[in-house]
Amino acid sequence: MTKSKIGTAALLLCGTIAGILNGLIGVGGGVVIVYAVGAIRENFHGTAISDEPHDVFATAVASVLPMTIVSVVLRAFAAGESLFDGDDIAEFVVPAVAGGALGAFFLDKVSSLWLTRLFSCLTVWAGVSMILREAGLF
Amino acid sequence: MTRLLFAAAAFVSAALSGMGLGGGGLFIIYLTFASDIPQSEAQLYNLIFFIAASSASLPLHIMYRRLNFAVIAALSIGGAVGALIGTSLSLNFSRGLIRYIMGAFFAASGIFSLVRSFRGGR
Repeated sequence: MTKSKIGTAALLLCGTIAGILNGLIGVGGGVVIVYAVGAIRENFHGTAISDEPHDVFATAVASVLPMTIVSVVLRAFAAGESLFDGDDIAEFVVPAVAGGALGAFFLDKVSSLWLTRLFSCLTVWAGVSMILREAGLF
Repeated sequence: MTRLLFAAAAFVSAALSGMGLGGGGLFIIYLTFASDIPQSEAQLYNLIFFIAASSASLPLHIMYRRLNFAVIAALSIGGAVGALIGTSLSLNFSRGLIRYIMGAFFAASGIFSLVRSFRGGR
């Protein structure tokens, strides 16, 4: 098997794992793809993946979109119309569209090392709090 | 005020997500800790939020030629299959188990990202 074919198989597997996580908890597919694509690129050059972090991030965003649509459609079918509160959804969809476009425009322009560290700390706190709360310890 | 905060959280999370800072995670953290939205709805809202934010950012990524369509195709095919499995599991798991998994994921990814940032990666 050529490196290119192994690389493609690795991408399929990586996509499957990202899809399972995204469908299971509603978040996380992009994180898996960003880290896994980096590892695949280092080991299987035949896949011709850009090593530019912004390109990897943009590719991850585009790859998570189809799996997210599959999850939403499946949840909608499972729960019926009652799942959707149109007012709530309208309230965050419009700001999300505006924010998403603004963020993509500034992707190449913002130095984000300290912001990344800050949000990593926030994420650790949120994760630990979630576990402690569920265990009744917090 | 609550509704304004809800919209502001979506805007800021989407902007940070567009910049590659994990804003999708931030929005679900907000939904989980600062709103009274049930867990299953929070997950659904976060998925819809991601569709909105990423759909808005994709034209810019295409314009700046950041996308590798062959890689996206392979990841998306695997991702669609994975999404079917993951969503089916989610619909059958208890709320408590989902929150344990989510908490473990947030803690692990946060630590990993923090360590990586100090080792020179982003």
